[in-house]
Amino acid sequence: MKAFLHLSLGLALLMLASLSQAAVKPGVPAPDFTAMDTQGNPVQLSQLRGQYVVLEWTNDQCPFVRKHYDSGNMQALQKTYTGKGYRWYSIISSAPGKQGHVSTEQANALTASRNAAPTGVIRDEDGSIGRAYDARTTPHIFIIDPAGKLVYMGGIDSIQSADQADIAKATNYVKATFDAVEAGQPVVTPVSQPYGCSVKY
Amino acid sequence: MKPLLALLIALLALPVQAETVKARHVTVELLAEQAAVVAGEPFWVQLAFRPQAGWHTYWKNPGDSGLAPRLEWQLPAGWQAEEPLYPTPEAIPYGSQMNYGYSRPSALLIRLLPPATLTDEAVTLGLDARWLVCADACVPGQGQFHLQVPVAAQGQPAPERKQAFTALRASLPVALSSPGHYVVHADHLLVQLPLAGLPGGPLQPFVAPGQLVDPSAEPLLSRRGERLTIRWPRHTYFTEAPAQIEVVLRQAGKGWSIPATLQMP
Repeated sequence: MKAFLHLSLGLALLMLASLSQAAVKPGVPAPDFTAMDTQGNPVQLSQLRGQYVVLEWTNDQCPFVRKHYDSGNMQALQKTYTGKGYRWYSIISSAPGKQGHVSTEQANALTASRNAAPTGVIRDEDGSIGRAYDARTTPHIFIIDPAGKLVYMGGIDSIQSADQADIAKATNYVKATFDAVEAGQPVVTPVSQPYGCSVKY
Repeated sequence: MKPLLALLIALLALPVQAETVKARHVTVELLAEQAAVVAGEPFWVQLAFRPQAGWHTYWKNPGDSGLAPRLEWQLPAGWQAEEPLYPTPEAIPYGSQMNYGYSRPSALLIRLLPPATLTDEAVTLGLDARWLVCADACVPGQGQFHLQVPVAAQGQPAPERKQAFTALRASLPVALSSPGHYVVHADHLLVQLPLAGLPGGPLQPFVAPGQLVDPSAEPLLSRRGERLTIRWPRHTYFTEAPAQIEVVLRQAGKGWSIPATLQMP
């Protein structure tokens, strides 16, 4: 009887462990999604295999997002990496009525006024993409490799603050990840604590 | 404080033992417990936060988002500042997320240590403090504080600030010295703590530092014999296990703090 109980417990734990394998983490396939960007282009992640993809959760009202946009840091990263042919999607998971929620027109106006250069901006009003990735903060970065696997997830850089002055002192994890993969080296920091305002689901 | 005013005060060597910064959505104040510094004796100060109703500041582990206060001291040579002591935190939910902090006035208690000898008649203690105060939106803030304190041979209490320090010490979790231990498993942390010193009844746990347990996940607590066990799903962004963690247990506004050391499974 005892052996049977132990076996059942073991199986239950194994099932729990395999469920947690489905969670978002480096090395596992990134959750697929289908969306329309604010320019009317369809975006399906699984169709983007063959190239690196950056997902950047954003909320233009959040002081942590402003740190990286007012300083030009985010735009520079977007330009650098889309310039290499990688895809960069800024994702807004704010629910209607919540901070950061914008209309398609407003989103496009923001891209222009901020001189942002993502491949596209995706409005995720119902939060389904955000929840699939468990996006918790803005900013929150996920980098997906050409095979569709996550290679980085977490904060944009290593100093958790709202101060622009910290950008130059911090390790930028987008740059660090791409420097590593482009050189065929392992990514030193595949996971870091995301910091910022909470995503306003 | 305006630089010219600070300079004037320094020149006149007027004592300044409390300074207030009125920032957006929060008033922040630095207070000294004593009216004078004595060489070689601890000098206690507090950094108090009074957020606007509906706004909150953060614990050392802010939870799923937010930011703990950051303190950068500008102290004379030979002085040291210890890490701040935080009051027992509250759990502040936001949707499916969880943050840890204070939706009412709170203060950090800091012990400053002067050197064994002091030759000046007064000392200037500077603090550059940064914080985050949030309601639905978040507003970062920053304040520059200066205390100007005379040096004396003996301690000089400051009766007008006694209540502020008594209240602050009462808001800190009671430090229980017997450590527990914790083990990291693939998807959860298992913490075992001695029950000695803890009250009966439901306890709400908090773990610091961050990035260890998932603040949005429900921990499971159980008591058996002399031990309290906490099984808490691991943080999605867990990377490494520190040699020692802090567990704070809250019940009816009171708290108890127990260290737990890392054990191999």
